Amino acid sequence: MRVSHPKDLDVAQRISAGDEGAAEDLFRNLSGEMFGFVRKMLGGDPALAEDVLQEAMVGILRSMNKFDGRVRLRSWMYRILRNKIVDAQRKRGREPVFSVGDPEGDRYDAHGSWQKGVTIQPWNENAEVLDVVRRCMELLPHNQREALHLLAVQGIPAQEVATILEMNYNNLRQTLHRGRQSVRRCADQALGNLPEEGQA
Amino acid sequence: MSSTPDCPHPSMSQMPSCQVVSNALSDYLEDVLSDGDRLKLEDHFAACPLCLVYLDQFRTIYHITGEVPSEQLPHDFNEVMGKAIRLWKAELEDQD
Repeated sequence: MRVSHPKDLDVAQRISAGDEGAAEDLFRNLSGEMFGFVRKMLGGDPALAEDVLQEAMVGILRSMNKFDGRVRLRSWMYRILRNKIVDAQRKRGREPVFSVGDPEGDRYDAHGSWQKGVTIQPWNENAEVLDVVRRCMELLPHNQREALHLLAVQGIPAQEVATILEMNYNNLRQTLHRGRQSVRRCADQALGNLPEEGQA
Repeated sequence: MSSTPDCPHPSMSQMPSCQVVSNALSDYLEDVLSDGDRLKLEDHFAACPLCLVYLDQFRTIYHITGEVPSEQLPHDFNEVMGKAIRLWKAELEDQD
């Protein structure tokens, strides 16, 4: 078996042997970004985010002896964290929604041109676009939200995000693009340029 | 249903459709398109006011979604981490 990340494997082996200091160092380095990711994915509930983060930490420590160094330790930890987030959403009765379709698909004619009557007006320069975009990101389908947050909010390189999400790079790029299109459409509705869903 | 008159109709020109343009905007902004494809998109923008506004809005979204600040750790983070480590250590000791 090829070990691509020997330093990460060394950390994992020390933790597996019961090294508390190595575990603390690992969490201190990564917990800020991981906590941010949990909060974004769970809609900003800090108490729930703390619970999920703690549960993920225990899960990571329990499974550390299974880490084999083929992917980065951070990527492997995020996979465990993602599963804990989905578990928490399901416990709250929120089954994650996945979407791969074109968010603007209903606005084109058969030739791919904007349908007659479609308007796209410039946004008011004074509009609170930043706040609107943040709210719209919380409404994204699960797969688009986690891809955008991992790449944009956590600043993880795209290739590593693809590893975490267990998808190929091209599929990740497509998911990110769909997410941005969805946010744009949501923002356009919030800023008054589009009728609300169901009223078109 | 007819298309919006101001935008180039793909069946009547060599230009990509509005949908094709919309789907290529991340690649356009990241400058990963071939020169030929980039020029086709730019010709489309010159002829299609709707897609030009769409591009402007998409560019805004592209940048804002990359700038959402990260969260601060909870003030009792040490307690959160400490409890996780204690739970794990207790399990290890039970196994011994």
